[in-house]
Amino acid sequence: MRSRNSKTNKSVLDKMSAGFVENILEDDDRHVVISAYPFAKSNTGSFVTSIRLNVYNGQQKKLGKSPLAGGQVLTDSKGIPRFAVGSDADNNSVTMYRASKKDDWQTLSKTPYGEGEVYPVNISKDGATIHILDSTQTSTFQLKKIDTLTGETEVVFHHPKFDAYPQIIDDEVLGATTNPGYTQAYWFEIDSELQNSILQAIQAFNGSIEVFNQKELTVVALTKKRDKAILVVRDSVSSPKYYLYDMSKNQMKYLLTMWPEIEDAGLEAEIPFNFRNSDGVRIYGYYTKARDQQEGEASPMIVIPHGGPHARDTWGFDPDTHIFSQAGYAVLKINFRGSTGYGKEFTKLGFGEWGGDTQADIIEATEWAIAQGIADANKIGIYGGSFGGYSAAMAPILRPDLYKSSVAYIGVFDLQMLYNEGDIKGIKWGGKYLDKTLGQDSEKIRSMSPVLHADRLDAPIIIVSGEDDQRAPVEHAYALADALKKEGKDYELIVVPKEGHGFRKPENRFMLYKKMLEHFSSTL
Amino acid sequence: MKNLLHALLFLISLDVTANLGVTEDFIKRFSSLPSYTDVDISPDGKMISVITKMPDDKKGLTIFDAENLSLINTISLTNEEEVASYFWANSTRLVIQVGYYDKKMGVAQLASTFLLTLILLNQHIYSV
Repeated sequence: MRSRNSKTNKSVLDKMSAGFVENILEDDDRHVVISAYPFAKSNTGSFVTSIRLNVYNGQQKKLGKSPLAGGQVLTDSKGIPRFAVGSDADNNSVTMYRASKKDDWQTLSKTPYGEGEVYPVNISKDGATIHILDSTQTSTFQLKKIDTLTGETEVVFHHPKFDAYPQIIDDEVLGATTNPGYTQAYWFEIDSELQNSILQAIQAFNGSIEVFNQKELTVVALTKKRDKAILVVRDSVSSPKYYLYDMSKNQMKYLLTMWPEIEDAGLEAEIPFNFRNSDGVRIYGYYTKARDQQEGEASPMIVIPHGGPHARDTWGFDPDTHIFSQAGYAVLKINFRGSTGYGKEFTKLGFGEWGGDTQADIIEATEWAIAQGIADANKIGIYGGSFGGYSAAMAPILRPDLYKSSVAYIGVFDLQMLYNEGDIKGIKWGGKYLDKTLGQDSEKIRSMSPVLHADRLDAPIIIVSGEDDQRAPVEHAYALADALKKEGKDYELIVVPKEGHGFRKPENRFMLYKKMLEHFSSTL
Repeated sequence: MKNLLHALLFLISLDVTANLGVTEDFIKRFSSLPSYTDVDISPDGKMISVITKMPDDKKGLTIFDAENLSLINTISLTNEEEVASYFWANSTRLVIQVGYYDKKMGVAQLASTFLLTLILLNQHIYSV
């Protein structure tokens, strides 16, 4: 039974703070380090405090405050704050470092948003080596190793086209991955027992169960003696699965299926593709065939642009994909200009282009799928959330001949309203961020704002919003609905109470899926 | 007559399914939340822990014996609280970060509460 003695129930943080365990201090069984953020101000530039917490008696000791507003603090193996990452009021990305508790914080890098950043990824237990990701000098991230004594810096991995994601297990930097389409793993040539164990695990895995499709294997936990590990195995057609790997016995034991509810045979795989757009830029994405779709047979298709826009789609299991695919639609996802993972220059191509080059890539990818014979040109629908919701309104405005039906979920539709409503403008650097991502040409912003072009939105559209959405407030949905009503267009507005920026409750997710399938079925 | 009625009902239900392209059961399963996430192992390798979906869709924590996978303990929280995340502080002690499902906001949020838990007795020796 849970016993919470009120006498001992004092707060680590004041009542107006939130926090997370930042460092479990592997060599100290009695303490962990918590990063604490004042609640109401967590977005507006509060200073993170690192707190050492005794896990036996709850005693707390403040280890220090971040020199930077917002962002994160990274402590070393002894719990000393060593790196601070954050943004200043001008929306510069700033990274600061100090060699020890006694040293002053020094600015490692300070760059305008979008012009690269420095991000610490590991401090070795002995403090002798630090690994950072750095995109201040190159478009894609360089993984660098720094000798803290000599200051000597070495680039240990850099891919000229794709961002590197370092693979670090228990303090050892074993390799890096990139995500062009499928994840590509690069193992460093280092003398490491741990690396050998993991490579052995991958082989043991391949030998012990059938591998039909490409799978991704990740080590998620390791014992102190490094003799047992928890692995998670993922693909695009089934739930991720957990395994226990015994290194000394070279034995793999199945533990759990993450999402047994959706274990279905015969789901269609996500297939990476890429094409060169009309501006000569290579665009990457994923498509999934409709259930039972044969080679050379064009199918109705749903295009699902991702949110952000400065985010990305990756290969993997996505329930949205399978809902549509199993219902008879091919599915298309695009890492359009502005997406992350392909270097900062690629992300910057999307700045000020929400309704421009970004939509052009979504449209050209759709045309690519038609040209490939995957999609039936007369039966294309579009559905997306957040920035994807914006695209689900904007792309049909730009190409009413191409998109015949739409579902715009938790989207923004009035770009000028972004400056006045919602939580982005409340963030200290939010205004500067909007200036960057939207651009400052008010004429162009008007041309990209769906509420001002409702007369061209011919595709029957369902607008779905959570009443408590802080990021894309419900006012956006009302504004678009009003504009469409004035133009006499075919629309439906669904506002769900007690949901926010993305529905969590299964009954609301069920309602949304069912509505979408009915809508696309009757309009495509 | 009864058979005809059955046949008619059958046709109607088939029609609904055809309209959606998948069965309602399929949509329902794909609308669910995952049952097991965040699997971890204790530093000494003796116990395996996992965030588990409870019958009310809130997240609790289940701990198994790593050798024979027998159940050691289940930790679920009361009211709006749920297990947001957790860490093994050492081989017998967990730090659980409490989250709560905010009815007003409709979103899961982190509470400023950490439970320091002794696993075997399922006793939160201290809550901060």
